Amino acid sequence: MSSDPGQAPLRAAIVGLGAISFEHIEKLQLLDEVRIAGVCDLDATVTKAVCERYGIGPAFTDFDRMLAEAQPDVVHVLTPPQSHRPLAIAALEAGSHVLVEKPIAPTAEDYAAMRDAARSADRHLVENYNWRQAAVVRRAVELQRSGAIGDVVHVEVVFGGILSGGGGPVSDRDVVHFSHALPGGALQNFASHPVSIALSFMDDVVGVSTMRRRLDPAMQSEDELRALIAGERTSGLVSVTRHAEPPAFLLRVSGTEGAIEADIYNDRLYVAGPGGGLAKVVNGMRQGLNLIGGTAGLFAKTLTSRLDHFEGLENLLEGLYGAVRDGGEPPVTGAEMDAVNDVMFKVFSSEGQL
Amino acid sequence: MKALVTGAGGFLGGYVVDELLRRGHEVHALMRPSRELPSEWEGRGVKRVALDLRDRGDGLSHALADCDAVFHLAATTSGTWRSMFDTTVTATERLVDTMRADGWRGRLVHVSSFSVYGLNQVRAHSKIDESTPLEPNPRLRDDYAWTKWLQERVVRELQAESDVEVAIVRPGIIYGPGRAFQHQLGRELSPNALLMYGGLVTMRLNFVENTASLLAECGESPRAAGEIFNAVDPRPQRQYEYARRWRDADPDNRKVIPFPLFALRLFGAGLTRAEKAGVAVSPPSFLDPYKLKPAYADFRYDTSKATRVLGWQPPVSREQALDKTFAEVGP
Repeated sequence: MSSDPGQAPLRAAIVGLGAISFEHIEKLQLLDEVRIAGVCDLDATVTKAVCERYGIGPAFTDFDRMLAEAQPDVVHVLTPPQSHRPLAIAALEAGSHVLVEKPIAPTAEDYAAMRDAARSADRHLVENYNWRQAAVVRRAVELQRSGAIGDVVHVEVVFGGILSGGGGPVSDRDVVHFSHALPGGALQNFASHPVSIALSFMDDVVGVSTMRRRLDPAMQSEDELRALIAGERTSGLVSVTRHAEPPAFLLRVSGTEGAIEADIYNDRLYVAGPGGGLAKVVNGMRQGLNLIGGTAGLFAKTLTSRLDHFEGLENLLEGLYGAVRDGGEPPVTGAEMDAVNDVMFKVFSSEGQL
Repeated sequence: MKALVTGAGGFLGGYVVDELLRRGHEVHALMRPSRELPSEWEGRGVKRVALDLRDRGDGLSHALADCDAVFHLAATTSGTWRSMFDTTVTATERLVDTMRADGWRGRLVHVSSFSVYGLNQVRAHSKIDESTPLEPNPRLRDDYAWTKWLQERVVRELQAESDVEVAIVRPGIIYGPGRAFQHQLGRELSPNALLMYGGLVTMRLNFVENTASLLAECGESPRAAGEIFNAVDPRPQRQYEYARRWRDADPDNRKVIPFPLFALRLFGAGLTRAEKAGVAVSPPSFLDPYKLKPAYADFRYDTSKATRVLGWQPPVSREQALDKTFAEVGP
């Protein structure tokens, strides 16, 4: 954001101090023109400790009180999805813009109510597709839109390395993780990322067909998802996998004149040209060099902490707060959210289940 | 005594229950509902208290009313910061609040950690004892250190202003059979390959049976009330000595690869300086000087207080402890 010393800083408020909240707080603290004006969680102990840790506050355990006292420009709703609807609507009606963690709502009905509230309050409602905003994915979208691979035929996104067992809150058998109570279980908690990426390359969706299953009987909900998304002329295949090793987040966009391949976790992108002539040799050599260079870069980035899995959140927050300050569209638009959630609710309903 | 042991389902918990039974006490083992009581305890009269300390409800009140000592071991060492916070800090606050609300008067033996000390603020090679100042910046350490620091603060507040007799034990690195690898050695590249950072660092090892014995002593001895004790075995070992024992337990398969500690320090310090100079880099966790020094600086550990105040001696010698720890894997 451009710096304008004449203006008061924008006021951010956070509700819900789950694991993701540290990422929001740390990214907000990077933005010069934003001040955290309130932090809220039902648990007073954690609220106090987090405020102390980051030198922020004031701490609230009552959300309505925070809205009234902190007067936030933007509220970050980071609670379990089952509570997003009332919290987001209360914030919108109080005049705040709202950023909601994924998945924005457990059901289509909840989502529609939130969208209606945003429209009638004339405020932004943004769902956090932070991986869609990561630099490597943004680059892939720009390349495709600039015509680098012709018309898109098919998109494939594989999202792994999530829902890991042993010790994590998702596998806690005593205090059951909120995600298992979603209509689509723990998978619904993660699928917005690959779906939002796949749809960035596709035309209008006409149908969805899914396979969901549980390979680990100890998991409290399903742990493997394949969703085949039919566009008018394009297609997409989204996989969310707990069991495939090594953990990877891969994107492949196949076009009529080439393909884009991205290793999203490792921030590496490669463009293959069309076949014919020396294509096999040229593409192979380019891919090899890309892999060697990308791996060396990855090593250097790891040693200097420049591989940031929440870089997309930083980009999203910059865009959102910029839009709040200067007008204009936030990086995640209402139309994009409608499209992503339409697919999400189809994937996690019983229709189209193989 | 009737002792309630929280975290009885954990590694240390098992040894504490055994030690209390051996000393003739009645044991109530507080375990998460998903955990079963080991069958060998059933026959020895251990009562299972199925309770998750994160749950609200009056289960904890009932469990406390029945006991005159609580050994508070429950904590988590992995997971997200929030799951560690809930199981370590919030759970402890719930325990302490219940003690206050119920006017519970008894002995609380709390298991803290060495990570509460401000080891960045003392010079390498200096003596660490119970008077060493606490960490002034717990948020700069890892989430485990942060949550254990907050947890101990909750207990110290109780120690300062209630009738509960509180004894705090800060163990070094607890090891024993099934828990041979220790992060103070370096990095575990695979179950059979160890990248040893340095080699000469004095490890603050504490054999699990010795920890359990000191905790039981703190529950029994009137002199333990209001005190804090470090728990590190005497005659400490350096990394290479311990690593050699680890390798020799399975010499055909295990490898120890030494890595110079100064290289980590130098690189980490360089990155920190570059960050301060405005370059867009920062040291990753394993190179962060603030996290490296507490683990890999060489300190001297004075653990005479438990002997001086309680007359307690660790029952298991270093050699016996190593034999027990490395017995299960042999050539």
